[in-house]
Amino acid sequence: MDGRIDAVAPAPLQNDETVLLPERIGELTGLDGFGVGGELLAAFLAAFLVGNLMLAMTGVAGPWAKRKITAAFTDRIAVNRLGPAGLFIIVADAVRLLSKELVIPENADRPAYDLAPIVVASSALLGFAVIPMGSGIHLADPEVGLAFVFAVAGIASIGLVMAGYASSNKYSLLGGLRAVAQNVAYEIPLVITGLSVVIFAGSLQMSTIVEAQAETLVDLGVVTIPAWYALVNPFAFVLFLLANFAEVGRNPFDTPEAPTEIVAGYQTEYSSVYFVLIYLGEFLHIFLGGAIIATIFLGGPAGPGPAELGIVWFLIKIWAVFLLTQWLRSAVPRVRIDQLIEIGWKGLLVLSFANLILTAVIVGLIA
Amino acid sequence: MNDWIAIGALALVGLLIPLGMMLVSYLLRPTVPETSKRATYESGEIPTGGTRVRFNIQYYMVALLFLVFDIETAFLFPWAVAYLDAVESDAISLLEVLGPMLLFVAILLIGLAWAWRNGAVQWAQTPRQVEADSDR
Repeated sequence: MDGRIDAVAPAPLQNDETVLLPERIGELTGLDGFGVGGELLAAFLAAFLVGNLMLAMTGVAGPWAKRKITAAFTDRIAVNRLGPAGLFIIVADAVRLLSKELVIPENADRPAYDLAPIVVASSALLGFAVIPMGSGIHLADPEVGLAFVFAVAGIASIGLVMAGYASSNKYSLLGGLRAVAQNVAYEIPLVITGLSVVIFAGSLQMSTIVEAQAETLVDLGVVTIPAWYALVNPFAFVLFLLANFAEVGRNPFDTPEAPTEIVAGYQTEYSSVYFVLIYLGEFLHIFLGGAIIATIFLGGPAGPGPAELGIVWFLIKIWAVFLLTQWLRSAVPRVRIDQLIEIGWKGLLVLSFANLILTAVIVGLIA
Repeated sequence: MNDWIAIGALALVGLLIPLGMMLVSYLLRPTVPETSKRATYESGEIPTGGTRVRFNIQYYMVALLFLVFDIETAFLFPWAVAYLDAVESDAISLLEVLGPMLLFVAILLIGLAWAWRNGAVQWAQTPRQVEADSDR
């Protein structure tokens, strides 16, 4: 047995060559000379930068881009009064939403009612810690990267069920239950399909997965097509996209907050800043889903041009996923809850296992 | 630097941003207490009965099923990470790497088939719905 273990002993899983954002900030500001305190401060600064980048993206997406995109699909103009193309609506909406009165329903179960928005918003933000965004914006690179992202993204379900139960509203309760049933049904296909990528890359570490996709798939002379896993295994890509839409609760899988059935689901009783936080969390989740898709299927920050442009390509990729969710929102009808469960358990789950086994067999035969 | 310091820092930022927003909102917003405002929303009607209503048993069934499959995925993670190195090395044949996992997945898929046959992943229907379906 000893010989075998030696033979299988893989190359070190930890890829120590990547310079992460906290180290870079530490060097730039000279904080790395101050021992542990300096390290902690540098890490905090880096985290603050990443957090605010994501907050800014949500700020653009929520009050402005979403309206503009939906308006374009339905042949309207939407916001156009404040600033160029109505962009200043972002500031106006931020002030408006934060200065609304907070109405707490009389039977609300506190503090769960107050904690739920925080859980939803911060769990989504935490996922971005391990995402390599290019141009050196990469907060942390633990070797369990992909597992960490899936785990953290899953915490939001707890927030949703807290919101649903604590609001003490029938619509909220049903919405919270639906949200959990849906997340539970689509989490497995999502993770299993993600594992089929891990089989190719041989690591859960995000930087290794991105590096593995930099290899050439086809050389056409003029252009070389990189081995992005969306091109290597398009079947897995489609499965992952579908499961992701269900996971973030977007059309055609937006049953948890189906306005025509249960008002607004778990967020029915939320107002003012709590409403903003739940909404923020939902948008962050769409972007986190987009970031995971971009990282494990679309080559992360890879793209033509110098490596410094990485963040631009990365943002283009996540916004492409966001645009797709908004397109589906305008174009695709919602599935019913019974259809949703059946699609998840009878369709996607079986297909994702088929994909995993096929991938394993093919990789095994080629290698 | 340790990766988990940076992750912890983002967790801290992720808490501070919502709390900061709540503080700003607390300073900005008006408070006009009024009892009818706080009534539970039921599409404008006066709320009837308790809010902890009965709901479909199916939510429990899928949660139970999820538990099994979620543990399975946790076991598949290390296998998937080691897979490429294992098949590339000559010490182990492909069957030895792939076989146990296929068996493991097969057992669970048999479980899924059993649950499927017994209607655990079929949305529970009222007798009237079942009747309507059989008429079709």
